[in-house]
Amino acid sequence: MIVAKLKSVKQVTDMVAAYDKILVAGCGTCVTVCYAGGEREAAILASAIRMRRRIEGKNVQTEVRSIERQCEWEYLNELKDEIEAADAVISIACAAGIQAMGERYPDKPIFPGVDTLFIGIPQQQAYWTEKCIGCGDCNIGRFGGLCAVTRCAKGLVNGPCLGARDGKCEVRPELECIWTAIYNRLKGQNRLDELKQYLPPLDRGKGPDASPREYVREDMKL
Amino acid sequence: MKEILGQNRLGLIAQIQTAATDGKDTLVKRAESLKDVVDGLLIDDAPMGQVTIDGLAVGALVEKVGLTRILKINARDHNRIALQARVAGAVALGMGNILCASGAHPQVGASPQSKRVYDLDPVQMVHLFQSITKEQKFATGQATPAEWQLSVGVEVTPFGEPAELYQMDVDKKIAAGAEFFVTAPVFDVDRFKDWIAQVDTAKVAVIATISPVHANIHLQGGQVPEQIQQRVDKAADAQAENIQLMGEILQALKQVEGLKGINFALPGQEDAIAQLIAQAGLK
Repeated sequence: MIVAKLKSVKQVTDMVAAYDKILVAGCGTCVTVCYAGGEREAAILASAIRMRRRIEGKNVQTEVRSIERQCEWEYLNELKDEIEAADAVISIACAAGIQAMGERYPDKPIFPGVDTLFIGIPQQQAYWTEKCIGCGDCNIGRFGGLCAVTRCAKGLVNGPCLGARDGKCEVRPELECIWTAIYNRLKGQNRLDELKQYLPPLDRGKGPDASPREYVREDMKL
Repeated sequence: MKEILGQNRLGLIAQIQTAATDGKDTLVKRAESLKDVVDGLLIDDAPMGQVTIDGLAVGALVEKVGLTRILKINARDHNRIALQARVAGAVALGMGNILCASGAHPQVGASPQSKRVYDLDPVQMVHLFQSITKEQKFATGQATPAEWQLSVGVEVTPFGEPAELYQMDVDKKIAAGAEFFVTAPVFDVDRFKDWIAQVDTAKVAVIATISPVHANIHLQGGQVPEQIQQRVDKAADAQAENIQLMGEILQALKQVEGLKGINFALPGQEDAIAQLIAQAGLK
């Protein structure tokens, strides 16, 4: 899932300082699951914006509406009336959804109410961890089901480096050195030979260095 | 590196202080003060995200001193284009001795907001640089110049755990063509001896690093045994205590079979380096 976190109320209110009728648009998928951009959060944010404006001695009208996913046109179409009625929109979907909305409704100022962080999982209640940076050339099998490209702080595929201490990464002592984890995982599967193989440099043309990327399925076109 | 490592004694290299604040004259003076002390200078590459004079400029400025120059290149700051450009620059300056390193992550140093590169890891760097020499062309397909001479080394740690993982790392680096290793700082010589016994020293020349105990030692792979940490913490004069400590380590390292060189990681402390070498009778 895509993990995002809410911006501060102050930051969001400042973004829409010039507008009086604000639509706060939530999204029912990833951001709901990470308690950032769902229906509930949209209502709370709208209320916080009204309170803040009142403190500033000004008024603001807010509308709240959440749709299943902001990254799909069919759902975005549902917001047509609310968007037309608003001066500006705060979208608390992930940046993909925010931009889809911007593309569908290009005449309306749209502002992000969240910071989109990463592709990850809810590791535990209220705690999400990054798992994938979208390198476009997945080799997770070699690493025993772990991604060295994402989860090694240096993205080493022939790790480890010298900086690990007590099995922890040099960047944050709470972070396990992923190479220790890879070693343990492969050892448990009796596949340590994988680590003897030299891995050549990644083709960065497949990953985020080749942004903005596109993907087409010719066979699925109508 | 042959001049340094092919002697009857341990080859001696010293890290030269290259902090940008010092300026050109101080830099050259430091190199001159090491002239008859060590065999070679190790030129670091923006350690801990600090601004240092670029290693190629350092190499050009200290060439006249006549010491062998080894250029450390970190993966952190250079994509494969820049890596090859720097190596080409090093060869052009007659300093084709390259030490490959990953480089401490930007977040732990002086420039935590910086973008990280890490296009290649150090194993891939070794492999690439050796391929360039072997194939006589760069990764772009461009031919290397006529006088192409390169000696490629890489950093290693003898103290990583799990030991088997780090042994595989050593093997991979040798297989990739590393000619010399510069180790993480050594404090536990017995542990170091156990490690070097497992290294094929016929294939790779091991240079052990000596360093004082300091706050960021673990970022260089250094592990300080508890009793040594206590010793330095409790000392009235930590600097003097560190010199004493390094002297003892050097005496022990002299006896280690298979060891080819010592790297003095005391940038800016040229007198201390000279003192340590003299006291340990390394020359």
